[in-house]
Amino acid sequence: MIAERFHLPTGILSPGLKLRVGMRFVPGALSLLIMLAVSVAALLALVMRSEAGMSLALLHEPWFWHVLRFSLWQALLSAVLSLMLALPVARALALDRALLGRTWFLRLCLLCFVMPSLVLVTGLVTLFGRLGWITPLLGDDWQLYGLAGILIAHVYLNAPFAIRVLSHRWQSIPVDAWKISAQLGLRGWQRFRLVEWPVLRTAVPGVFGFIFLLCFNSFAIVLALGGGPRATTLEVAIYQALKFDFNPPEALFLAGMQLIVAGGLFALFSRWGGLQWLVAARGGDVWHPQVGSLTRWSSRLLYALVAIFLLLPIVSLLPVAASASGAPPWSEIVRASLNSIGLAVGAALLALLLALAALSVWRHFGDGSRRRLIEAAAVHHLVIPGMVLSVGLYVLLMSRVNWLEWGWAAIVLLNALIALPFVFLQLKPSMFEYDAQYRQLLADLGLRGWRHWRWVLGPFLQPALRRVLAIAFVLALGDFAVFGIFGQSSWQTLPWMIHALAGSYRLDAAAAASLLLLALALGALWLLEREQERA
Amino acid sequence: MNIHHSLSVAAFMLAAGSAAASSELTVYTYDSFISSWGPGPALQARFEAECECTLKFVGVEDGVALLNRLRLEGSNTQADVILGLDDSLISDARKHALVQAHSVDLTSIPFVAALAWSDDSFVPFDFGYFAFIYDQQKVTAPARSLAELIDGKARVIYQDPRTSTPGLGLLHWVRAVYGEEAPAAWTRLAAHTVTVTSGWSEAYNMFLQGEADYVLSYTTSPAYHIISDGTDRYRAAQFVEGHVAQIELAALSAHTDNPALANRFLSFLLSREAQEIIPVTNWMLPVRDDVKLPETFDQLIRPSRIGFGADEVGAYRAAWVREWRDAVSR
Repeated sequence: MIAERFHLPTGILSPGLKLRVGMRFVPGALSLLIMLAVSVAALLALVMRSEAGMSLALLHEPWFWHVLRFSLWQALLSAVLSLMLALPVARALALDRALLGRTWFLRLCLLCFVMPSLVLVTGLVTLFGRLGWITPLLGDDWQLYGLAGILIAHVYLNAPFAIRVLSHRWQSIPVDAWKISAQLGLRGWQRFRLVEWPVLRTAVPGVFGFIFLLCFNSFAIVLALGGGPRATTLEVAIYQALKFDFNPPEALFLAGMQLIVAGGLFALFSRWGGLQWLVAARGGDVWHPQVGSLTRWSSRLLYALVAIFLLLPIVSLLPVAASASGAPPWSEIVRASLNSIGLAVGAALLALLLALAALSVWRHFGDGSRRRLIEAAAVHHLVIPGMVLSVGLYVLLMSRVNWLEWGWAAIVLLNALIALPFVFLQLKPSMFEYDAQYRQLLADLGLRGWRHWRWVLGPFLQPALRRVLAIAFVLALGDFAVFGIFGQSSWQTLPWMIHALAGSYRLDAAAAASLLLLALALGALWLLEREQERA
Repeated sequence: MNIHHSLSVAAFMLAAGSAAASSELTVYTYDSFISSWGPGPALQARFEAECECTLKFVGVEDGVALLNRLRLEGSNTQADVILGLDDSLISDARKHALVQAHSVDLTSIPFVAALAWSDDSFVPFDFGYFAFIYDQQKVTAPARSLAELIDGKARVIYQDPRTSTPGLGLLHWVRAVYGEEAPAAWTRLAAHTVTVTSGWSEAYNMFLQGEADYVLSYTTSPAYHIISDGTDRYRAAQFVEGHVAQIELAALSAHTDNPALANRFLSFLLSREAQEIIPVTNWMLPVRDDVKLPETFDQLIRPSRIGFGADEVGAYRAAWVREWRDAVSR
């Protein structure tokens, strides 16, 4: 029975081996337990704080439906636009080896995750605001505030993520597939449909779902650039319910709606995707498909424009930072940076461990529904607001844990969980590929446990591991919300410091600290990816 | 003699060696108060010199986060003193029994006339009036009343009352001036509102970038620009209806185990010494009227104070927010 379920050849299972198979599930089960327990515990803690049960009063307010509609609408548009921009750029990155600064561009793409909202808003105002550099080109009717501002900001934040993921997918198209398509004389649309789309199809719906959720949950940006409370997302209401009113019943209701609506849509999107057996392109093969010169040059132009678009908010920090009237408090900034790095490294490693452990169970289930359950456990943190998780956990353990002392542990854990969906979904295809290629071989070799990891699986996954480690690190480095609940200023982090500086008129010092934050993220990416080239 | 025993003896000797410095006072406050450029470090140095105790600050995001942190922690809290709730949060703090009566003699303090403070649990350590700031190089004829601003066409940025205390202050202000007519006033203001941000810094930064003619801030904001940037181009508009104040408060935690030391800290906050430090580090006004301030502060507007009492603000806040939300979302 076990053998059937776990794809093992029947007949070789001795009782001792059965036990070993069982033991193999311990890390995975533990990891799944942690993932689910934190969410369940956090929600339960809020339920216990809600004497009156979940508040359904909001269902009768037209305002609520307006906000829900707007949240969905802007998230949908943002996701569509981000993908439309990302697809051609990702294709150029994957296929056009002559592009300048590809590596740095891909690193730049991740910086958006640490971009403090203040920096992004400032940058976009510098470009598109009333006195913006680009505004004169946009005609007299141009108005940043409103849907336009929200969409620009969301495309800025999310298209780069899509570019990164999709260009990796594009690169994974087997060289043989390109060669055959060239021999068959496939070109343009035909080639896209027959060679490229089948590969992309495995990633596009997932990326779309991710971006949709990220935009659905965004609120500081939506408020600042939305032009007023007409443009509000459910997340603002959750923030208000938990932060200002401390109204757990209302927060629970809103989080529940978010879980149902956003989670449902995400599940729908990800079902369109799927996994596909792929032979990865490896080992310095340098075959590249021919691309028409019009396509090539237009995508190079687009690439350059996107690079400028991504760089400008960062560039616009320079004059502000340079104008610092008093010296920024460097010693404090450096201390905050060290705290940030420590917490982010912890969170990134934990996220990686959790994802690997969960995948170790996932790969042994052949059938879709059990796999999907594990996927849901690993990805659902994307739909539960970080604020709900943090406050719930805080309340639950408050009487047993001294958070002033142990807050750092909660910060590491929650940031790991928040990064987990990104890590899990990006490691999954590699794990799938690995099994597809080597399962039979491994069964013959009989490699198991540590030796299997050390000599076969580890090296195979290494590039993907570095990539997801980078994402998790950068995500945790930019954390603001979780620190707001568990942190305290005696060991404050860099994003927190930026917030404090900007909140006391020291916008110039905040700009300098923001540059440092971006530089740290870039440095980490460089370190991780440089190693990768050497390996 | 076992090892634990000898350790505790050593600890006792250490404690005895450093005189009575073993007592520690934990003060919960908001983050920017204790940053290196805030009042925290200077106050700490002065207070520790006179109390022979250790002062420990725990900083959270802002006043609202402070209230919630205390609500969550309940009797588990380690706070001895709560520093940085504002007057709009008094009723919440009382409702959840977070504070206890102090023993500071307030009658001996020469409070600024506008404050006239007497409260048995909270003492004010600074205050400020909300005001709309403008750039006098751009706005040559600033609005002289809230009505003029609301009925005019000037571009305005303010903060969301659901996420920020200045935003809540404006809610209070509009209610104080317009009463039941507030929703209509909000709708008129919405027509020329550039945007509403979640926090003060986004709004203020956008204003400095030239996105709006007016931004909601404090009457003391120009002092910062004069002292730190050396420019007097930013001014606060004085409104004839009067301005709503934000009073920042300190109180004894209901669960402190060192009320004597905590009371001593509250008295220290009201001393001339502390009151001279706070305005130029926290950019708010002193609560005493006998404090020497940099001349810059003389150039600031001195509005009259209007508004409701803390209990009313506490009672109506949720209704005001809903009223605002519905009026501006239309």
